Amino acid sequence: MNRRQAIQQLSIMGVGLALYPACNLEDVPTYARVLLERKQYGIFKQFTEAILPVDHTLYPTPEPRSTFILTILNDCTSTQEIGQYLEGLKEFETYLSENKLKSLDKLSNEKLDEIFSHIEDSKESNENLSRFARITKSLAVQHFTGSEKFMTEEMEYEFVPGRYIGCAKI
Amino acid sequence: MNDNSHTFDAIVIGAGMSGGWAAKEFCDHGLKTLILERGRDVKHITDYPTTNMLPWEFKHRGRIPIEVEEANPVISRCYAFREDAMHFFVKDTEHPYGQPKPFDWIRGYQVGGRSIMWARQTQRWSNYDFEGPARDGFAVDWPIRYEDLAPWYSHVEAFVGISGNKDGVDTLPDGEFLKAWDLNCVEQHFQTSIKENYKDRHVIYARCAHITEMKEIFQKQGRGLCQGRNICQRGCPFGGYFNSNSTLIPWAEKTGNLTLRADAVVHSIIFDEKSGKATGVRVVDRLTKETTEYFAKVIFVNAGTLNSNLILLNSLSDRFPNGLGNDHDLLGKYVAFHNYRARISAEHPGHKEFAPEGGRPTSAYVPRFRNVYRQETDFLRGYACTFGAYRGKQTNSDGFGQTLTDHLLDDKEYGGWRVGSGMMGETIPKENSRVWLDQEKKDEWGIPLLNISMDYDENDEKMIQDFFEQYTEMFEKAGFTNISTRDSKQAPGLDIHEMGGVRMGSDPKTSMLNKWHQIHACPNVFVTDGACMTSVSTQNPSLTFMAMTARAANHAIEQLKKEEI
Repeated sequence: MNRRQAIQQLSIMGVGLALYPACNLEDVPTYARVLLERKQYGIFKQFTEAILPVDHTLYPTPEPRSTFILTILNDCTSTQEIGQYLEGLKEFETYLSENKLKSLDKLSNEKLDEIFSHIEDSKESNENLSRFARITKSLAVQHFTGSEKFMTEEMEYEFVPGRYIGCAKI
Repeated sequence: MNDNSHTFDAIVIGAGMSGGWAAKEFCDHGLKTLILERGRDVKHITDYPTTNMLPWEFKHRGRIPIEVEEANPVISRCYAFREDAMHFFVKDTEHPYGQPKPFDWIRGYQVGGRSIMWARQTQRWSNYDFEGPARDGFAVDWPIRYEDLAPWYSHVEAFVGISGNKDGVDTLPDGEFLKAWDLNCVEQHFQTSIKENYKDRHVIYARCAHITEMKEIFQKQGRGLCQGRNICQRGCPFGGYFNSNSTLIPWAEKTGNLTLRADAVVHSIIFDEKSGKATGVRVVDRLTKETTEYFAKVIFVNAGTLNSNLILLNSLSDRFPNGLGNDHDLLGKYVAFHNYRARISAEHPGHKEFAPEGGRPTSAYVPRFRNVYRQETDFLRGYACTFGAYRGKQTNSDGFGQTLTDHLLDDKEYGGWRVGSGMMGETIPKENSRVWLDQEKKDEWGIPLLNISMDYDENDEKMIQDFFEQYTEMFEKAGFTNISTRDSKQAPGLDIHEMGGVRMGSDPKTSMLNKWHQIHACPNVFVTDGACMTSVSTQNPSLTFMAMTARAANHAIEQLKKEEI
């Protein structure tokens, strides 16, 4: 790469950095049935984390939460439901834009609560937005509560119990 | 081709539960035995790919991909067709069949058949079941009674390993039991309540095919104790529950007398006009489509109820133009199933200081109490029921953001007790409940597709209502609250207890098989899977199929010795 090409690429990166939050520099994963634009993917990914903030180093999972949710959407969800979900994501994108909110991961808890309240209040007025949030939350909760540490330490799950006590005192 | 490599003493069609038993008995008695299985081979442990996968290791956490679900609506309705065991079930698209009336045909085409994924419930029949058709005037009288089968139940139970209590209930005879797991405190509470309020109703531990005590025979089989994992449908690395793969096939192989031929789709049974006997079977290789013939003195048909019907219907000759042994157009008729449509559930407000701990593969069972000693309702026969009580830790998933995280991590409590029962109703075999070969459509092996037509009738509808009324009353007496009933309206078949079509009976004019399971008109062919059933009663039938098979196989061995077949 010569000097001129390098400067050109840095310029492009600079424009990118100005337009999108840092995480949006990641490649958008390819799913045949869930097509996301780069900006949408950024918002989606941030929302999946904001909806259930967890230190993932403490609760490791085989795949990142966003990957799990996209996998379930892509592989196990009807075309109609995917369409509705993506409509909801667009509604969310519009809401963020109208309220000049760029990056969810930089918002205070108070601001995030405001956003969540708006979503909860929109159950009837904006069905798509509400469905988007509900499905994302449900899959995020499934992913987190299905992690090894949560299941074994929080829920006392045993893969090989080797016993059954019908009436254990709790 | 009739060379030595294709000639055996006995051929068994089907390597599932009953076929495995036939092979085991023959091999134990020194008969060179060929067992034919239409599906692939499944070796115990080696071919259980998901058996040790942890819940979080499944890509879809148990869900079935929508592409598979939409292409296979029938199998997708089966409770066990999940990500962890879907590889053991036949997809609708792979093996189509005709449904003039909706029928959910749940199948497992592999060595081991459905014994890999079965529910493992093992309750004996009693004479209240065998005498049912004669007493209540349907089907034909069974040519056997409990006393004929009792020693063979014991024979099978001792080998398989059945966990249970000796309950002393005459409707559900006791057997050779290993120790039982606990009933939990709410199941015990229901048991006590029923005992106090009803004379002839019993809540017992549901007997199941799991090893709970080590015995020499299980050590010889290389099986270990059940660990209560409750993921049996994947195949068990401990051999804790019984299936054909862990127990029967390896046992038979060890004798040196067994030849196992997987991927062998049986086309038909070959009948010899001169001798009046079957001489062998015609097989199409599942993969190459090449046709082969195998020969033996005795043939056991254990392809699974409806496929056994299919094979006989497709076994055509000048002597039997309508199917082997079908002199009277009975073959394929009088099929029946178990009515699993009705469920009841409720909450139990008590026993809040207790919860179950660990795992067990069974629950409680309520043997049939309706119309046992006399006809007491406006419908025939009755129903047995499962009963289970459950309680577990629950998470609170209210809120969003940090509130949600806090709830999930800090707010975990035991939920209340939930209780539930599922009805297992006896249906009446009828002439118009039947299966037959399609005249035009064939599968990729050139075998006609099977059309299946059976349905619920007024008797079944009345039975469902009675179940709702009786169990609502029983639940109320036990103090359960928020009782709700549900009729799933599911099609026949999801019970996975289809039976009949090649029924037993004493009279060759009104039945296909004699009391030893031999085709009346072709006595060296035996049918000992669910196809032989004259009536279906209420109990999970697999134990009875196994006992019948062991009994019939030993009879065949005796007849072979005497050269009577």
